[in-house]
Amino acid sequence: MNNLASPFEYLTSNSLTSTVKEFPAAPDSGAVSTLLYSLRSVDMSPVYLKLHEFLDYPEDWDGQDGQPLSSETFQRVCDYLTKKCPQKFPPDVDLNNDGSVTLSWDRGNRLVWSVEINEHKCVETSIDRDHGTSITTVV
Amino acid sequence: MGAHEMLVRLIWFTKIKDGKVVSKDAFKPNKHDEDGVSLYRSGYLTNELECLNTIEDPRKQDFYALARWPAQDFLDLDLKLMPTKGNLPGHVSITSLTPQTWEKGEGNLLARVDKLVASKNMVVIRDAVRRDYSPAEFK
Repeated sequence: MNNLASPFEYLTSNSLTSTVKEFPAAPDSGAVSTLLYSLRSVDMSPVYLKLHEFLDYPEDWDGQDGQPLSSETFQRVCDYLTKKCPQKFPPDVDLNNDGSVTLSWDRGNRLVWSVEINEHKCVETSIDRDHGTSITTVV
Repeated sequence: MGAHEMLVRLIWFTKIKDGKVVSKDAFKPNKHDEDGVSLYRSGYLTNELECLNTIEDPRKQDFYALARWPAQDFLDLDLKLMPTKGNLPGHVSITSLTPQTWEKGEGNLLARVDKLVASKNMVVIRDAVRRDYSPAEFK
């Protein structure tokens, strides 16, 4: 196991460069080794901090049977971010009632990209606001 | 149901910014929405804020905003509405928005929902009282 400080301390005390950094694995994930996150020139630290916060959410967090973020979904989101980050700026990240996570890249542009990730699947959606069309793909 | 009617929905604070609904996930179906995403007809409520009472924990009510749309907006986007049984009078469901249809996204569904949340006719009639959700408070 590594001796890194808490995620918050790590991310706020280290400058972010385009190198691979170690980041503690999610609790209860059963992982002995740390997860490796490639922090590119895009500052993804707010995204990872938010994801770690979601791991602490209790059952019924929203008063409508909201499910917390599971370790499995957490890992799938992190894998997606490290392998397939499609934009030059970090996504907005939100926890959904069913415990899935939505990553969205939307700056009021005509094209909006979002990804919904849960333990079993990853659903990518692109929306063309100019034409009012959307394409949804399960990957 | 008349196109002139107004419909209200509870929206979790992360999906509202500066008085606007900013995410199509404000209409993401949860596991209870097998017959469609829920709204309430304003005309059937003594006070629109009654919708907040569907959230049992009053502390969690504070994290919800209440937004209102004219029924015409849904009809214009081919999002069919049907009166269904709910916790309060005037409950309606968007029958074309279920967990299954959301995932498939057929017929540009998510583009239509995206357009709905961006409607100029939408009004946030009560913003979230709190935006400082902390899991520690609810454990």
